[in-house]
Amino acid sequence: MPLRDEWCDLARKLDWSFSYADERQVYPEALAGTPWLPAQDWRDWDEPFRCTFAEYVLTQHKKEVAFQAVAEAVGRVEDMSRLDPGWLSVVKLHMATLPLAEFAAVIGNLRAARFGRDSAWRMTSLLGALDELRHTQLPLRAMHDLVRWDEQLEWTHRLFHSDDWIAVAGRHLVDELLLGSDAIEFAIGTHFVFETGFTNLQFIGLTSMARQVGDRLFERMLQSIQTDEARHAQIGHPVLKKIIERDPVRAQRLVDKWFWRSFRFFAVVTGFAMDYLTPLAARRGSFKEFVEEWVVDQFQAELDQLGLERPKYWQEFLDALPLYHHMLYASAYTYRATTWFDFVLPGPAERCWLAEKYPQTWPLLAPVWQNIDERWRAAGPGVEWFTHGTTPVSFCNLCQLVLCAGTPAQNSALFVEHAERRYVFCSQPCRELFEAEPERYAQHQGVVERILAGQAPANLLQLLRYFGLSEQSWGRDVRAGDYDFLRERGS
Amino acid sequence: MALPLYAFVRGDTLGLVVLAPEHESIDELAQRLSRAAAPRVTLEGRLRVLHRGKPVAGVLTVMEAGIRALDRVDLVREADLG
Repeated sequence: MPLRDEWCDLARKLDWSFSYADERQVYPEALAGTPWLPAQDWRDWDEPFRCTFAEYVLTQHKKEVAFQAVAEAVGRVEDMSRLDPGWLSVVKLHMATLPLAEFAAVIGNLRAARFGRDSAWRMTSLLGALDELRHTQLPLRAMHDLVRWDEQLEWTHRLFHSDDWIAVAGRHLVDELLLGSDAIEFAIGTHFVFETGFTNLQFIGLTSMARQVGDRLFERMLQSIQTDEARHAQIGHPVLKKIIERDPVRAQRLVDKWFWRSFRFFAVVTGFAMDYLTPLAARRGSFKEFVEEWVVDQFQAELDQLGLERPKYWQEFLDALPLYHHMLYASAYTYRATTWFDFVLPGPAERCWLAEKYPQTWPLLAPVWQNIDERWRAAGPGVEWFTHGTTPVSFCNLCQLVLCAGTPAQNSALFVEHAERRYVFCSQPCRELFEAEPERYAQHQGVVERILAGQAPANLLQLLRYFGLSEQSWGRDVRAGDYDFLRERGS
Repeated sequence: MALPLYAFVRGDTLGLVVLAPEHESIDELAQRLSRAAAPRVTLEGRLRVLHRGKPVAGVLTVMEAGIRALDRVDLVREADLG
């Protein structure tokens, strides 16, 4: 037997018997997870790819050196200023959302490193926590020197600390998934659903687009992160397998819930990037095509292998796939000052591409963009406010995203009375998830509740300040409405 | 007193929160909603406000129409009513 294999398990799989506390005290169910199983039931927990701490440190050191070299070579102002302005918004959006999510993931992994029920699981989670700390730091480090060039890049750091609506929605998701979940829910929701099910959209789709657009820094950063994710995401399978054996109903329910919540998140972050912000020549496929390949096909195959049903809200997911992120993008375009990145007005070529990729649903959206065109034509370039909303928008009390579900003809918002308070949801799945665990969500104060309680201003300009935005940082149209096609009537 | 209402304009991509004075007429509320959605959608012709899915007479005030805080109202073209 090779020497490494002789001692590897001494480090990664070393449990011990407790003498002055019982197992339930050491691993209380509230933190270790439901169903609570005795240690002997977890003894066969095994991860397919094993890594020692020494190997981890060596590998990560090499990755850090490689990334630093790329950052020094192609991460300078002159490199970034050559990028397409729409793509730069992809960078700003991702660089800001990564630290917000990844830092919460550090804590989630550390909790699993303490309360995971097998020592090998805990060891892998410990390495996962170090991974996520690195993923928090990579964008902060990469963008730090560029802030003096573009103030919006300061939001790489600022978003986490702000009350911008995207931060509120992001925190609502990651606080529950990464901070509020027990070790079992964390492993299934984060490692199996979020990371295994969805992050391929980022690591394969967006990496490919970054290469096409010539953004070597973003490409290398995603690649560097992906290799970490692939290692710690493997925690999900063995935990899920065990829960399927002992409590298949709970296993299915966790997959149902986190599949829907993850989809909503990726519809914003990846949907915007793939279908609007990436220049047409660099697009490798539509958001829908990537989701069909990596989620509908690949993730569904994984569910089949595990003997799980499709997630409960599968049909709602398929129905929303060609529509939801388009509704959200058109809405966000007309509220672009509420974000820290700029928006692209799709031109005739982009609209042809969208019509080809979304033949059933694009005709529902096209009139909205024609209306925006007419407003730009009437106001002229530079007059941002004429294509910008001034009325506060409404948010879902579950996903905390704008009520953009359904169709332009019929918004699917639903209302529920609970404990003498009215709640609104963008869709039936969000409503059902709330009603299944109202104690988990009912006290949350979204943007609208803060306005109604007098904690946040209703006036949009003042609300932007509350979000932490300034005239130097709030989002605009990338070309200030100065498009050739707007000057050509009848285009 | 102004009531916060969840507002949905037919053809629009999102829901809005509007503040509607209780003594404002439903026709005035329709114009308020139309203006709020104007960057994305322009509804032409006579407009109707729906409350609980049913059209409300334009001459009534918000209060007379029984609209309460955080109710849902929809704005549609009269021509689109069945």
